[in-house]
Amino acid sequence: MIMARKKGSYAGKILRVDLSSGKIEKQDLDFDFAHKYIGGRGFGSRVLYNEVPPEVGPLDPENRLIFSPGALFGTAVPAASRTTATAKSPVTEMFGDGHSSGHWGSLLKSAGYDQLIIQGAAEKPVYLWIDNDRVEIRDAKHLWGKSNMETNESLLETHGSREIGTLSIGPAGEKKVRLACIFSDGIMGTFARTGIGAVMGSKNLKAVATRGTGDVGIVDIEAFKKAYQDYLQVIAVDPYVPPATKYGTCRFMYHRVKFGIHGANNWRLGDFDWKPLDPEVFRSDYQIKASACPMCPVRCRREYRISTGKYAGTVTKLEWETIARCMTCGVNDPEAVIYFSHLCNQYGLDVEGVGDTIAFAMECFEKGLISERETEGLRLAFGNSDALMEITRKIAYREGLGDLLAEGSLRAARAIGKGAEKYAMQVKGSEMSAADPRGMPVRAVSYATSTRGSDHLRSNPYVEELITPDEGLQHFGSKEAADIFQGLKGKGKLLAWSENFVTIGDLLGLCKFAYYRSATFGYLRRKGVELATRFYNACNGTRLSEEEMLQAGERAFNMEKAFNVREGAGREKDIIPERFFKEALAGGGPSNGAVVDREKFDLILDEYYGSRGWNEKTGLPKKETLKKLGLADIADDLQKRNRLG
Amino acid sequence: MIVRLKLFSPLSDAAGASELTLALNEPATLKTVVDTLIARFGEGMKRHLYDLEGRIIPSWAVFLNHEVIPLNKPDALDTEIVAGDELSFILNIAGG
Repeated sequence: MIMARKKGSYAGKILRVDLSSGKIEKQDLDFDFAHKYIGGRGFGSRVLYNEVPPEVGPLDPENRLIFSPGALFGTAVPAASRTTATAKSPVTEMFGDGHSSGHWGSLLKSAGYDQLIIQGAAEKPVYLWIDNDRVEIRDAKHLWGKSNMETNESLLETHGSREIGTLSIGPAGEKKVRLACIFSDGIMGTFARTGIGAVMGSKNLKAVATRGTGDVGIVDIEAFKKAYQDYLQVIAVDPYVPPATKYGTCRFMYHRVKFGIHGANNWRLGDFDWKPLDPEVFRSDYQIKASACPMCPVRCRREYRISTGKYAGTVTKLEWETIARCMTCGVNDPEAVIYFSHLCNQYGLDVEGVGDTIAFAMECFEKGLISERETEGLRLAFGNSDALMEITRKIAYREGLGDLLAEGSLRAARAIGKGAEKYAMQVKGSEMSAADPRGMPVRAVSYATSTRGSDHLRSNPYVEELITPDEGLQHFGSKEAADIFQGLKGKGKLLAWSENFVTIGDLLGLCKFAYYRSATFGYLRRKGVELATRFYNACNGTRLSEEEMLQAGERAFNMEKAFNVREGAGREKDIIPERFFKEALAGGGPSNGAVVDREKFDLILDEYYGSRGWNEKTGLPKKETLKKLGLADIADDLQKRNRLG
Repeated sequence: MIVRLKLFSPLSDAAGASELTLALNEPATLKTVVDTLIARFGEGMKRHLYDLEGRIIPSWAVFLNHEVIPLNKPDALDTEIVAGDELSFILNIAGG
């Protein structure tokens, strides 16, 4: 039964742990702060801006590691299951964060905390045990070296309960591999990108285990019930949902095939022998479990098992990006894909960062920039799945060439020299994600403008696929906004709106697949703005308007931008790899021969900056823009540093 | 005339097949194909092709042989279909 609760969806306290001094502080949550920054990414980006100035390096003890469950996580809101981890990124040396599902975030709130801020570094490996009010820093010697699954199991055993949630790093995080991530509840969820696991490793923090027995809840139950019914009605008719439920994220294969935008062999081939990786193959031959993240009716999580052959006995979860990055390495054996996912999950590695870094190394090997002397006899060729597994292990443990690749593709390229940098497919130092943008200019720009390096989840440029020309005119000022291939006008506005829009999900802890993807613009807005806002208001007894919710998204995005600007980034960092401009997509297929038109890219970027209220020439935010968003103190700080647009 | 169709989820689920042939009267357009699919497979098919307001779902992309026709393109449904054409219906949402 859902109980009404005056305090709403917030737990009411912030927990701060200094691992250097051992000091543990609990502060009351300022509700004005809460309603302004909402939660999740908003909470994390505000604290990071306040507490991590440019002179602090990503692996310095004074970097912060901030866990912020979404504002609605812990309530009965459907698919509200996301937590944000924020830190200065070891990959980009700018703003960094990762977002994960799992139970841990709701248990942190049940324990009484809306945010966990970790600072300093322990002298020896430790883990944090949060048991409601009781918070302890404990020895983690027995956990060091364990995989994420082993760590989770050990903590469950130690604390005698399946009712706890955990965060952990694997061996890669311990070794401060810049491509390391943090896992939630074994391998249930992953804070994947921006090297956030290396930050945790730099603090000698192996894990966080949490038990919470309190609750968060809902102030206006009738309004909540109505919003819930309306949400279920929308997803019942949205054609976007059935393929998600049927195939999980593997479904994206069909889209890539039809448009010929695989980016195989280090982002060179649009077409690829994908048939062995057909979603039907994963579903019929390997899938053992379809499940859901907490409170989610879509159910797109998948678990796979390999029964025979050299990877027999492997059981793991797998998402689309693992398949995509294996293709980037030229691998199309489904069992190799599942095993690669298993290795990354156990070592605690970001499949996207690692996959692209290995693809970079494979191209260097192909071009003779890396030889078998450096690889210690490993034939690091595209399509060699044995080499993929072995180099992944070497990266996780920083062995041999793996030590260099553990730094990520850009740093490795700079160390190799000899022109290797042009093969590092990255934005702001962070490896590419999603699909090849050649032929679809707004996607190319969206990878460039992401505040955490190349990222399709930071925006939702796919809005161009589901708006009609009339909707393009009404919302983005031009019918061209609805033209995927040739459109130009309105695209910058569409991108800025999309970034603000999907940020709402990261504030509230809502899954992007359950709220921020749809088959029509009407369904999309209904779920992502209207219902998201209604859920927030029902839970908290507030009267936020949809415009105010969108502005909260814009505010968080601007804080991240401001953080990067303070670090020295301007327009020159909002750029994609040269390959996309200069090398035509090859290998046949519908997009064969496509490039990103540089002139169009720049025009869309100009419109985007203008739409955001940032200086078009420098890409820096204007003072009035930040003030309008209630960020006058950040505007003053940037002004002192001569970093305003 | 006969045209061949390749359907992706959820249309393939509504049709109970991922590949099928349709017999159409000439002249035919993409609208004819959509109408024929709905006539043959009923409400289960219609609700994936039209939204609650009765508008065509704009994020379906139809590949006519090798040319893509996004249904958010004006006049997309007026596209002429001829005998022997192959049409693939795929939900054009990259997501990821």
